Amino acid sequence: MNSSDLWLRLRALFHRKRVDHDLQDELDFHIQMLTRKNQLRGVDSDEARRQALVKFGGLSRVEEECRDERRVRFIENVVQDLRFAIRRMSRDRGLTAVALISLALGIGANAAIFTLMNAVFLRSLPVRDPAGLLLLGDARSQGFSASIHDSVSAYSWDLYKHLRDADILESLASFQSADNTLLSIRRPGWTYSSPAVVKPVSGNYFDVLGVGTVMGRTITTSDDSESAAPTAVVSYRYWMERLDGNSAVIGSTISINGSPFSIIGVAAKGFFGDTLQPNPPSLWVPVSSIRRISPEAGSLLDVPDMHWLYLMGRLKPGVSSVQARKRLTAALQNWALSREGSNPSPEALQQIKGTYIEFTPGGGGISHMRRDYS
Amino acid sequence: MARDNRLELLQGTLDLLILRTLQTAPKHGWDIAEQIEQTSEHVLEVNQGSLYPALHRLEHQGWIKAEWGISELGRRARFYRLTAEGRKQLAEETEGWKRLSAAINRVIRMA
Repeated sequence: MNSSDLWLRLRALFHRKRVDHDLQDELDFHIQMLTRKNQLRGVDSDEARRQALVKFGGLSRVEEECRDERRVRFIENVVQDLRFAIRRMSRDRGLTAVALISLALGIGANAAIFTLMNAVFLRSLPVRDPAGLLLLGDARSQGFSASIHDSVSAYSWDLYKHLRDADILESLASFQSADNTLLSIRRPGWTYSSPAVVKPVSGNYFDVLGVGTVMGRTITTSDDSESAAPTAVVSYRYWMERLDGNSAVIGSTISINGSPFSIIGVAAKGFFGDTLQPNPPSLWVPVSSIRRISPEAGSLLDVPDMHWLYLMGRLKPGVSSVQARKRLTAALQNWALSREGSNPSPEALQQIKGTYIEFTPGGGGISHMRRDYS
Repeated sequence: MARDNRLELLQGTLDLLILRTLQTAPKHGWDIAEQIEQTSEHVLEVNQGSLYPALHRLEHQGWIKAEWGISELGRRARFYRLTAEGRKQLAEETEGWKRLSAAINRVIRMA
């Protein structure tokens, strides 16, 4: 047994429908090409397809043979492996026990260490000039909080706009800090809806990161307004796996929690978002559109003290990171003061004075693993 | 060309030809079949129906790996590429084939 075989077997076992659908799609592509070849020879389209099917030798027979390849190898391998394993293990039981325990420990520890190394050191965001990206704060708090103190890493929509418009950085994007918002997705023709991770991002998010599309366009600032038509960018993987990699999806409708959004683009192939996570976003939508997804989520737009966004930006040329940090901290404290009204309490002033913004290099993406282990 | 001039592939040689075709670049099933037919100047005909079971078998053996990509029709297609193991297998099978055909040639000349 080798690793690719094991993986394919597991996939066939747990994703039977998907695997069958993929197989049909693969064979159907071949028939299409064959039909086109016949058409180029001057045969009309119905006849061209009929001839293609004849030449192919029975679609369902080929499908069945492909499935047989899976099953035969599965049974062959399992029987072989078992026979060998039992023979060896029964020879020396004590050694077997020791071996099994060390294997279990070894595999577990290795997997954990590799994942950690991978996330912390090896990965770099597939974006333009990742080294120039800065994360404001250290992404330590996730979800949302109703106040800010000390080093700030989550920001409200209102505070974000204040810092962006203070014009201290060359560009500043924001995105939801929580990374696991599963919403119900449905497409015309789907018999049931299925969950997918949706991530609200500011209109300039793709532009600031420098991530493009393989098809269509990214979300832009003009999409990020409550009066704009609701738009969504899908991930390459979601497009391939759930939307059959069909180019006709651009401009078509996808419903998120029952609300229609228009698919405007497919994100670049290797882009899995700003956060290293096992279940990356399948869809990105403008922050301003979240009220359409749920009226309660709309409060995240309205309440200035609801801090739920992470910010990522780039320095202006010629401005040092120390200068930028100082000016951002001043802008942050000004905003917080203006929220306190004309007569702030000494405690509130004390707390505001204690708030500041620090930078984390953003090029590695946000990894909660790194957060937990550092 | 006359249909009669075409040869059915020998059992087992299809694997070798698939691996060889993938040596330069990843391809989808259609391209593999077309390239074998064209390179052999239409002498070898790939049985369209047996190509895919063979591809799936090779994939399970770990010699090739499949990945969805975009085809010239603008829709998705499964592209197969050679793995490191597949390269080794290709070298072995090529060597085996050379020995076999050399042996057969010798027998034909001697007999």
